Amino acid sequence: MSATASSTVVDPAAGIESVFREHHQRVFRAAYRITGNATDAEDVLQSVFLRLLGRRPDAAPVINLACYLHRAAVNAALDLVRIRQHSLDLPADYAGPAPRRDPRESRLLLRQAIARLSPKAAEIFVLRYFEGYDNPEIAQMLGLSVSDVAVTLHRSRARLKEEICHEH
Amino acid sequence: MSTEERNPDLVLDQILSEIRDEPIDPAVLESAAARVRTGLGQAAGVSLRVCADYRNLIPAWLDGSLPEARRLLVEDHTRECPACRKAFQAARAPKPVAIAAPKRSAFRERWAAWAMAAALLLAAGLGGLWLWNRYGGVPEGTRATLQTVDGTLVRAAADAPPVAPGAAFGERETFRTAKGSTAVVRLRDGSLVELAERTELSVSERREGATINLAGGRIIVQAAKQRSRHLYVATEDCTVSVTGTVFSVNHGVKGSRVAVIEGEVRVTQGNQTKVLRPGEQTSTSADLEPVAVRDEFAWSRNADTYFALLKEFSVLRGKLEAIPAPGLRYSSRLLDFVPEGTVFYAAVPNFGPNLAEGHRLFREQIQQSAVLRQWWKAQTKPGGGEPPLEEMIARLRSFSDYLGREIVLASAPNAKGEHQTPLVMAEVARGGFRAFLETEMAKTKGGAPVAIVEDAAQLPLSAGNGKRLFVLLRSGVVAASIDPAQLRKAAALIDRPGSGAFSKSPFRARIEEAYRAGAGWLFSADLQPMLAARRADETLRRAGVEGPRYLVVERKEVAGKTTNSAALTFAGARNGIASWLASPAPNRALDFVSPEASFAVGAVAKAPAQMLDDLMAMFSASNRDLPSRLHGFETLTGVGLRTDLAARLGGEMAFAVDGPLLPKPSWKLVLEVSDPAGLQAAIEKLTAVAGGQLRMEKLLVGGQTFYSLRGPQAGQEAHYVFSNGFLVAAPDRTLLTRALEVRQSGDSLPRSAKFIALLPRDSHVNFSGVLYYNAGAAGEVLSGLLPGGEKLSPEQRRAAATFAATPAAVVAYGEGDRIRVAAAGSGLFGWQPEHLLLAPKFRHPK
Repeated sequence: MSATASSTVVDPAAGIESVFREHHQRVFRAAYRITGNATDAEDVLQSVFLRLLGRRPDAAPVINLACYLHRAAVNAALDLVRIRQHSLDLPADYAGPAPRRDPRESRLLLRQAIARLSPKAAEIFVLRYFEGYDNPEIAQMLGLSVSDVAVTLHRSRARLKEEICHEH
Repeated sequence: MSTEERNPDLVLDQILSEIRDEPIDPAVLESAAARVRTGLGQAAGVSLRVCADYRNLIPAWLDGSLPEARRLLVEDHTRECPACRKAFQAARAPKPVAIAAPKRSAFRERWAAWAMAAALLLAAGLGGLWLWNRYGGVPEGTRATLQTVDGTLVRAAADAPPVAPGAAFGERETFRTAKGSTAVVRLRDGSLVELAERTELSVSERREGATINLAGGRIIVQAAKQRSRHLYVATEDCTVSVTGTVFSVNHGVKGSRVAVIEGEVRVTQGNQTKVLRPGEQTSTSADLEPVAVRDEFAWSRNADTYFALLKEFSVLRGKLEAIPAPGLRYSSRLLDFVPEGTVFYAAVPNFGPNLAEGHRLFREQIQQSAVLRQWWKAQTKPGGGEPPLEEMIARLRSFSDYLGREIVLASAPNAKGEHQTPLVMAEVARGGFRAFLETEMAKTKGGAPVAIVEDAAQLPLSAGNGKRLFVLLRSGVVAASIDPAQLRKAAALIDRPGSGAFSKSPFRARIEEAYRAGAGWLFSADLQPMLAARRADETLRRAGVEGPRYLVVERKEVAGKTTNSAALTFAGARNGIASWLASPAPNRALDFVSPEASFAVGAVAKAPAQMLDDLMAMFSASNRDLPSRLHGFETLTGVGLRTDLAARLGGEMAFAVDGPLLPKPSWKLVLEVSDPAGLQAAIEKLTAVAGGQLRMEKLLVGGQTFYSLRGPQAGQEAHYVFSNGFLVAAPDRTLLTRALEVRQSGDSLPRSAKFIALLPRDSHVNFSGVLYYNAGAAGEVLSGLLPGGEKLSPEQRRAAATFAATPAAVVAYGEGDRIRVAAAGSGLFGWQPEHLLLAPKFRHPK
């Protein structure tokens, strides 16, 4: 799936209702993919739009609303996963699950592993593998070079492979 | 256990696509959206940009009249902004706030539950109740009781009246001593806290333990035994955690200073934790200089006299150590007179002058120190007293003046193989010895049964009743024995030195070798005759035990450093078990041991595969079916003991206890491994065969694989990891990580200055094996375990702890035909004045 980019300069506060109508599904879905549950996704949905609302009038204009919201959703969701990890006793003392891995568990572990990447690497990874942007698009969204994106992705993959591929 | 060899890429992509394809129920999505939209719609009209705007809403928020939208925005903002969060919380009045509005649909259940709980708790009216529930029950009652006060102690409330002993203080109730006053306070668990002047503190208690909150001043804490609880002392900048000790905390403007007398204490400052042992101290700020531990306690009215005594002893010890030991001897004329067949030879330096000097210093010190005098009086029975001791020493002194540099004992078995009493010999350095001896004998009541002769012909043929001592004085040599036959042999040799069979024997050669290296105290034994009887034992032979020929034990002082050593020399190249110790070489297994280890043993051995061969050879002799049983085991498990296990190990190994001793000792085992993957495969095979008894798990953390083996019962587990050609095993993963860190940082035991200082001084750069111990605070525990330890007085117990707490290292060298073990020593022949405290009450000989 690829995202369409609409380039209109928009004042988010005016007509928040229509912005919400147009983009809420995408934000919710992106948050759901990262957090894995609807409660957290709703949390992210609210945060993203409230912040949009709360933006100061003199802040830089949003050029590409879809991308902006997408990234905001991704980052807010990653933050939430990180916070959740800190408050639980997790993999450091993880005693090991049953021999046959439960697929739900694998997904949870991967989500947590992604959140443990550096914020930028995590965002790039999610934009690529969950949201379906391709490397040039990501490079443009984040203001990086395409090769930077590619290298970061490669490293992230390597690290994630290592983390999820231990056997019990 | 099954190992799925799946391509990691495939696994990753599989999970990713599962995540992407996870279905999202549209109904769920829309209901979530609806909730959010409602809030937003109302929030859209609001202009809340800066914190001040939000805080203006506090009154409305408090009484619940805030519109939904604004409340949402407030929630969101306070989540992000700690300052506003505090402002809102601070403003909460202790009365129920109807935050849990019936419009549940605007909140998620979670928020509602929080709000409900907050409302309930607030409704109780005390912030403290919230803490109660969180920490699960706080004990009732007084926290501290005033025991004694010397001066004035008041509660911190302004102008409170002085408090009398017996007064009780409650949770967090602050009290302080006035200027020039001290006081002792007793905590609920029996711990005693002594307050210096102008010291202010309060005590708080929770289920897990009590905390002394020291606002300022100095305290000494004698902590009661903390079983499952902790005792903490908290100051502004650090926390001291305690388990049964005596320590002092001094907190002032510049920071805190903690000093320990007894036991072990942990000081946490920020995110750093330090462990302090007796005599150690730490300050939280560089501006606060360390002060001698004694001085930290000096203000206490009950300064322990033990310390005064200890100080006197260390002064005495310094003086004794300053006495130069008699120099080394590089040859001995007396060797020529050793009779044939001698199997035991000892040479001790003539230390008469040293003994006298030592005694003189002791008397001097007693004169100067009242504490020491008091102690000495308590030790010696009144009237039993000093004169005999003085006299004895004086006589010894004059006796030794006549003799040469050493006194030799030689002993040979008689025809029946029994050992005889030693033949004692010395050179005579001054004339008039005979006259001196005769005078001394005359002094003894009833006449001493000593016969002095100058010619062997005058000796009787037999020993008679064995109670007479025969002394031969001839050619500047004095020889004595209760057996005239021995003396006769000696006389013959004195007349014709080097004529006896002994002069050409290998035993004599070995003794001469010891002299050439410089002899201090020398004891040597020829083991061949002793072991000859056991030659028939095949197992022993194969163990290489038959091999040793000579044992030489020495003690010498070189340039102020004393070394004790024992060397076992073999007939030829070492074989069997004796050959297991390899030549001195660097032992990198010790690099995983930290300088704080309480115990460590390391060795460089020959190849484990060969050691296994030796073992097999040894035991096959007695168990003929051993090889076939072993073969059966190997077939069953698929693991070859030699090829799969032993062959994959190298010779460097170490075992240490490195970390807390309680509740479980923190052991670690390090083995050199030449083929980690192969070894791991072999271990896995063995684990598979063990079935339910043993479980193996692997955990990948940060690129390192940690293995763990667990037995059927809880607590039976060991973890291990392969690192840099070694296998490191420990009871838990934290210890393993620590071991890896130690090696990585290079700050390991063999490189620490204090360890190197303990090693004996000699020509070797490396060693083959080492045993090191540094019990530290555990010394107290260990001394309690001594047989008869319960009978020790607290003073003696502490002395024992000091003794056990002294770090020591024993080193072994595997040389071609011998194994040598050496250790550095100290004190006057290894004796330190503190050891007197250990001795039972000193009784003078009558």
